[in-house]
Amino acid sequence: MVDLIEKSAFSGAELPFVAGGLTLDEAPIDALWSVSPYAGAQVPLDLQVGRCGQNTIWAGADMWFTTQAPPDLTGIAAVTEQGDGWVALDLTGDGWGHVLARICPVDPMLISQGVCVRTDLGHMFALIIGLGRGVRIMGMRSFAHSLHHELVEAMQSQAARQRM
Amino acid sequence: MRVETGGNRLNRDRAVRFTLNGVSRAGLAGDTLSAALLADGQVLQGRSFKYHRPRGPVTAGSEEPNALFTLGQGGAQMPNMRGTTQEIFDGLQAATQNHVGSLRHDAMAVNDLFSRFLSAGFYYKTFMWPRAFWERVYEPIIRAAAGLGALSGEDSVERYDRAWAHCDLLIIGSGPAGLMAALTAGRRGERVLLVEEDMRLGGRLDAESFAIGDDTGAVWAAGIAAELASLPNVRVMTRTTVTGAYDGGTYGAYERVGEHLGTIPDGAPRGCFWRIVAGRAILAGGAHERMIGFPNNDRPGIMQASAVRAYLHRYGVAPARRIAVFGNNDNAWRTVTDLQAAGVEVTALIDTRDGVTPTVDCPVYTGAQVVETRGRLGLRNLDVRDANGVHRVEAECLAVSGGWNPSVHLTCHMNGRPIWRDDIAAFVSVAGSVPNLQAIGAANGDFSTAAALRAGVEAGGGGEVPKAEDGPVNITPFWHVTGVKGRQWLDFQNDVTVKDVTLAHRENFRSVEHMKRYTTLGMATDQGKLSNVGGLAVLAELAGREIPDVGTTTFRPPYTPVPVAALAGRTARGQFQPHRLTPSDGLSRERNASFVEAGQWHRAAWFPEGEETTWKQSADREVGWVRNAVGVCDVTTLGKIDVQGPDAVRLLDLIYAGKMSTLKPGKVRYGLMLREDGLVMDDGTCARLGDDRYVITTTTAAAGEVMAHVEFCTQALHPEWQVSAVSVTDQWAQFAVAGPQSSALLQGLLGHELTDAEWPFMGCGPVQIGGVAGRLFRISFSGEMAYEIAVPARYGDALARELTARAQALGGGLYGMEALNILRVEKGFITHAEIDGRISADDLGMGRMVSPSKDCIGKVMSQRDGLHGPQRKQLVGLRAVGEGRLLSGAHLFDVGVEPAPDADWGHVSSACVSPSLGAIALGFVVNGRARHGEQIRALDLLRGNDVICEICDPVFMDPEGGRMRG
Repeated sequence: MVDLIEKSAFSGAELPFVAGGLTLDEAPIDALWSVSPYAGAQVPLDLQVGRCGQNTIWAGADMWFTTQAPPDLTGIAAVTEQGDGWVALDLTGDGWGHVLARICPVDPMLISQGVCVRTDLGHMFALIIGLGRGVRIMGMRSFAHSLHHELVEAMQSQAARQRM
Repeated sequence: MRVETGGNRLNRDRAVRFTLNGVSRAGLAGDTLSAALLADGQVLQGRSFKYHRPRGPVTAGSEEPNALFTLGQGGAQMPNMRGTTQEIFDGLQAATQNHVGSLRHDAMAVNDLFSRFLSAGFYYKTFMWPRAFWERVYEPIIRAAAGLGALSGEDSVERYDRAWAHCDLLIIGSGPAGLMAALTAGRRGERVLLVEEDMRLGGRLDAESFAIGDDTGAVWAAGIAAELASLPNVRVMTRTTVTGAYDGGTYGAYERVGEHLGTIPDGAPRGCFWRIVAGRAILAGGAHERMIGFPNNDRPGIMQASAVRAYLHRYGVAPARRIAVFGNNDNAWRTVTDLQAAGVEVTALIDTRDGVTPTVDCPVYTGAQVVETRGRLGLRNLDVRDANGVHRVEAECLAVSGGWNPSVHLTCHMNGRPIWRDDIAAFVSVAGSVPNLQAIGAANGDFSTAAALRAGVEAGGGGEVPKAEDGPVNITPFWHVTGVKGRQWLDFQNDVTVKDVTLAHRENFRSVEHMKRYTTLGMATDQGKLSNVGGLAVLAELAGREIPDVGTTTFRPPYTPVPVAALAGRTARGQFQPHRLTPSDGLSRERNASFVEAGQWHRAAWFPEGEETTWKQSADREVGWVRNAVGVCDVTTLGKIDVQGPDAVRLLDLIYAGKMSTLKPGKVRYGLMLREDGLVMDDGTCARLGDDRYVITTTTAAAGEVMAHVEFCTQALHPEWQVSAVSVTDQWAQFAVAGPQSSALLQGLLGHELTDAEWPFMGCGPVQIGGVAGRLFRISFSGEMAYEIAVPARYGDALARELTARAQALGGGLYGMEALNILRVEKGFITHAEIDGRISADDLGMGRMVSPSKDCIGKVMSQRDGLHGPQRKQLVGLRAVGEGRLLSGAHLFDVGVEPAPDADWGHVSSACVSPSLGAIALGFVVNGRARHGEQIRALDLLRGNDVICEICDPVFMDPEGGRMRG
C-alpha cells in the first residue's frame, strides 16, 4: 500500500527567521476551502467583505476562504479545496509595517486585526490578514520560496538600517 | 580658505581623509567635497563638457552644474556626483571628470580654440564628408568625447530598496515654510511626512545670517527639528529628494541611505526609492538663485552669491581672499556684510541698477555691469563698466545674484506650465497644476523669511508666526550684458552660450522647445535649473516678445538624477521576477536537471544520466522511454481552473469554440478558445467532474490571461449567471504518465486494474493513492497510451518519487520539456509556438471545431473574409530532405527562386530532430493543406540555415492515434 508523505512548500527555507526584533514563521494550513456564492445566493456562513469572520477570510471579489469544512452548498456557492494551493507566513513584532512597506503598496496602518487585503507583494499577489501584532501573508504555493526570500530580504534591510 | 567664524555644520575637531585623483586630501567632518576643496584653496573642480574649460562650483546645492565627480571604483563607481552635496567620509575616493591628462592640463582644452566650429548643432553641419568616415572615424571620436562621467562597466555591487510611505500631509522641503507647516500640522495631530533633500532640516536657515526671534536660523531650525522628532504622528526623512509628482497623490522620492558613509551594514541598501502616497502635499522646496550673463562668466570662482554665503555659514569657507559681488537686487548686498563680518575682503559691490544706495562699506558701482573676466584656472580680476567708463576690480571670487527662480518643477510634472510674475521677475506655479499640491514660501515667490514662516503656518492649519526679517524683493531684471565681445554662458553643464541661442534663432529654431533641443540648453544632469530662465530671456529678446509669451519647456521627473538600480530595487538580476517551483522541483534538482523558464515557472528540460554530455542525448533517451516503456513528466504548471455552478455549462459554451454542453460527467474534451477578434487564444482540455463541476486546463504561460478572460466573462458579460471560476493550478500536483507501460505502472500504484471500459480514452475520475484522494485523467500529449494523475500538492513530491521509482522499474523514468517537445512535434500537437496570436482555427485545420450550432466568443469575427481559404498560411508538417536540420523562425520560399519578401510563403513554428524520424518541423505555408508532397526552402539568414524540405501532414507518426486510444 502506497503511503504518500506531505512536504511543506517552505521545505528548505530558513524558518522561523528572526531579524531586527521581527519574526517570520510558517503558519501551516491544514485545510482550506474557497467559497464563492453564486449571483444572488445567501450562504449560511459569516461572510464579511474585507474582514475575517468566524472561520472565514475574505479573499477577493465574491470569494472567501474558510478553515472549516463548509456545509453542502450545492446550487448556492462554488466550493473548492485550496488547502494545498495556498501557503501562509506570519510576520510579527514591532515595526512589521516598515518591512511590509518595502514590498507591498498598502498602508500598514490600515491592516489592523481582522482586516483582509488582497494586494501585490513584490510582483506576486498576496492576501494579507491583520493579526494585531503583525500580519499573516498568504500566497500561492508555487511562489513560496520567492515569498520567503522577499520577506527575509526586507527584514534584513530594515534590521541593517536600524543599525545605521 | 577656511575662516574662523561660521561653519555651523562642521565638527572642527574631527578631520576626514579622502582621496582626489589618487592624492590624499583632508577636510572636516560635516564638509561637502566641494567645501573641503574650497577650504583647501582649490576652486578648480572640473572641466566643461564641450570646450573643456576650467570650472569650479557655482552653487552649494543639488542644482550644481560644474563640480561633478566620479566616486568609488569598480562595481561601486558612481559618475556625475555633485561635490556640492556629497558629504565626505574617511576613505572616500573621488576623481574629477572629463579631462585627458590632469585636471590642470587637460589636453582636450584644445576644443576651446575650435569653439567657432563646435557651436550649437555643429554635428548637423560637420562630419559629413567623406561619408565612409562617419562610422569608422568621426563617430568613435565623438562617442569617446561625449558624456561627462563614465561607468566602470562592472556589475554594481550595491543594493537598493524600494518602499512605500503613506501620510495625510506630505511636506517637501524643510526651510522656514516647510518647518512651520510640519510643526503646525503635526501639533494638530495630522499624519505628516516631512521630506528634506539635505542632510538636516532647516533649508537655507543655516546658510544665512537671518535670525528668527532671538536665535540664529540654524539654532531655531534645530529646535523645531527636535520637537518634530518628539511627535509620534510626524515622520521626518532627510537626505531624501522628492523626484516627481504622479497621479493619485503619489510622489517619487530618492533617499540617499548610505551615500555619506564609508561602509554600510550588511544587507542595508545604498539608497531607497520611495513611492509616497499623500492625501495632500505642500511644496516648500525653496528657490534657486540665477546667474547673469557676461563675457567669460564661467571661470572657477564665479558663483551664486547665496552659495558664497552658504559656504561661509555652513562650512566656514571663503572661496577666496578677495571677493566681489555682482547683482541686480537688494538681496545680493548682504553677501558683502556677511563676508566682511568673517574677515574677508570685499573689493567691490557691482549693481546693475541705477539710483540704488546699498548700505555697505566697500567700493560700490551702480548702473554697472561686469564686461570681462580674467584668469584661466581661476578668476584673477574683472572689468566693470559704468557711466564713468571701465574699471578693473581684483577678485578671485565673484558672487553673482541675478534674482531667484522658485522651484516650481514638481508642480509642472503633469504638464502644467508656470506663470510669470513681473514683480519678482520669476515664474511661479499655478494652483491646482497638480491636484492637492500647493507651493508655499520661496517656492511660491514669497522670498522673505517672515513670509515663508507665515505661509507655512497657514498651510499647516493656522497659528502663531515667529518673528523674522521681512525684506521686500527689489529686483530689476537683468539677463545678460550687451554691447560686448566674448562668449557668455547660460548653461554651464552643457556649455551653451548666449551666442548659441542666437544662432538657433537665426537658423529658425525659434520655439522654446526647438531652441532647447538645438542648443541642448537645459538638457544636462542639472536640467537647466540655473539656465532655463536666462535662455528664455535671450529668446524673448531676439523675438521681440515678453518672457511669458515665450513660455517654458516641459518639466519632467526626476528632479535630480536617480540611479536606475534604485528604480529596480531588489527586483533585479535573479529576482527580476518571482520563481514558481513545481512539486517535483526538489527531485529534479537532485537529478541534476537543467531547467527552462515558462512564464515564471521553472520546468525541468532534461535529466542527464550516465555518460551523457549533451541535452540531445538525454532528450533522445527520454523520448525512447516514452515511446517504448513509460515516462513521467511534471505537468503541474498548466493552468487549472475550477468552474462550478448551474450555469457552468453556459460559460463553457461561451468561451470554447466547440460545444461543451454535450460533455458527460467523467469525460474530457479538447477545446479551442478564441479571442474576440476570432483568432485562437489558447487550446486546452475541459474535464467534467460532476453535474455542475468542471476543470479546464490552459497552456502554462497563458494561464493568467485565460483566467482574466474567464473573470471578464463572469463579471462583465454575464454577472447574472450562477457560475464561479477559481484557479486551482497550485492546489493540484499533476504528472503525465505516458508510454506502453503506463497502465501497468498506474495499476501497480493504485492497486487495481484500469480497464478501457472504466477508463476510456478522454475519461476522468477520482482515484485513491493510498489514503490520498486524487484524480486521474486518461489524456495524452505524447501520442502514447497515457494518463495524468493529480494529488493535492502537499503530496506532489512524494508522488513524483513514487512514480519515478515505478517507471524506472519498468525500464523508463523522468522526462523533461525537451523530450516533451520532440514527442508532440512528432504527433503534430500544437503549442503557443503555433498559436502565436495570428492564427485562426481554420489555419490549424481545426475549423470544424468551431461549433456551427452555438455562439461563442470570437465566432462571428472568425467568419470574416480573409480568415479562410487558400490565401491563408495553414499548418503543415515539414520534413528535411537530405542533410540539415530545420530551425523554428525560418521562412519558407520556393526552391530555386531568389528569396524576396513578396515571395515569402510562410515560416517554421516548431522544429526538432526526432530520434526516429530525423529533422522535422511544424510550420505554416500559404495554402499548405493543398501542397502536401511539394518541396519548399526553409531559409534563416540570421543563423545561416538553408534547408530544402517536403511539405507533409503535421502528424508524422500514428496518424490514426491508435497508440493512445488503445
